[in-house]
Amino acid sequence: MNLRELPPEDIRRRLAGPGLCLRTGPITVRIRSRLPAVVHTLALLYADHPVVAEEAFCDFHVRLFQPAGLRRWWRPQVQFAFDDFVPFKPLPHDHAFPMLEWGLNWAVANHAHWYLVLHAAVIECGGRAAILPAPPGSGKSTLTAALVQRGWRLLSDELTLIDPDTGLVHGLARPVSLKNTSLPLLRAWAPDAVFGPPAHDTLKGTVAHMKPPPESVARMDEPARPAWVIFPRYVPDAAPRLTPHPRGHALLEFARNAFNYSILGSRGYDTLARLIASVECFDFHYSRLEDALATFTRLAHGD
Amino acid sequence: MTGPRWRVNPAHGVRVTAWEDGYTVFHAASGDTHLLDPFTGQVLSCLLEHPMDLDELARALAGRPAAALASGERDALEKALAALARVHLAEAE
Repeated sequence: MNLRELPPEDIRRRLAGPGLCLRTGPITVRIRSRLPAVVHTLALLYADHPVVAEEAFCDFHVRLFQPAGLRRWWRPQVQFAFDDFVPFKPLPHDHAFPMLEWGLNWAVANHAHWYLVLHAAVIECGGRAAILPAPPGSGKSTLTAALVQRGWRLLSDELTLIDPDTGLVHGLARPVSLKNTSLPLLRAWAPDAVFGPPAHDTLKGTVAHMKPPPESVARMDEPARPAWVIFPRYVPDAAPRLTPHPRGHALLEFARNAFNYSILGSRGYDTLARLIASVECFDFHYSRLEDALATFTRLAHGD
Repeated sequence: MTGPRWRVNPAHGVRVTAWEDGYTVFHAASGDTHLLDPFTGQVLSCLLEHPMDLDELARALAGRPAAALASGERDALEKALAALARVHLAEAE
């Protein structure tokens, strides 16, 4: 059963009580919250994700709640808990849904050590995956959101999960986080895309999440074979330019930015070396989404 | 024999991969990952096969004894060994 098939009162009951168990690819999470904003946005953006039985095993148990104290009367806040551990400081109440998403990212990055977890977006076309590592501000999520609205499949906009045994990438197909000027850009690029309500004045500015395309969610259990590592960079007014990126440097950049590389030790290095040996690595500079789409389409078609 | 023999400590769990822009190396004992220039990476690869002194390294890399190396070549070899020793990838026996 998908979340959209669950009556709203049942969603509210589960979230307020035993928890709503959602599966995002190989990760099942139990979410608890009484906050109306979380209930509403979760139902909107995770509508196509499968709901798991209340008594099922869940990898992570998370909770969003309003901290106790007098402050809640004049400046309400929201807090994220993982089991009963609170890893972050509270945020303003209207940042509740972004906080849930950031908290889930944190949970996967810090606990899913059966994967090598890279800080990178990953999308797939024709059975081949493109991994997009990039620092904040490079346009990674904007590019990811744009491409998955035009035929590429979303695996993740933030976390690339690599199985050390198979070298395959596993997807989560969770909402894509967009911020500031990317929001009107994507609304114009994909008028039918569904967005959650914007949260203003976050650390990243104004943030809203885009619902993953239903076909990406329907195929989230299908791992993909990595074919490309592409370091994207938005450069105002630049013509699209795809140039080879040296693979030794690529491995080192991943090693620095992977979430759990040091925890996996030799296994992490072997996984990374195998990944880099099996892909083509590029730098990609772009300014227009149309150009980016054309470049990625040529790549997927082997031109 | 020319100077000490150099080796990669087998207990350190060193893994090396060659790329077009150099060699990446994982040093399990420290958890560090390095990117070595092609020459230093080649020196390390030789030492991974078995311990060598400067003369043996010169023969393996240049096909002639250390005494026949140009001074710049010998300096480069010594600098590479010093660089490897600094990050504990190689040690004098």
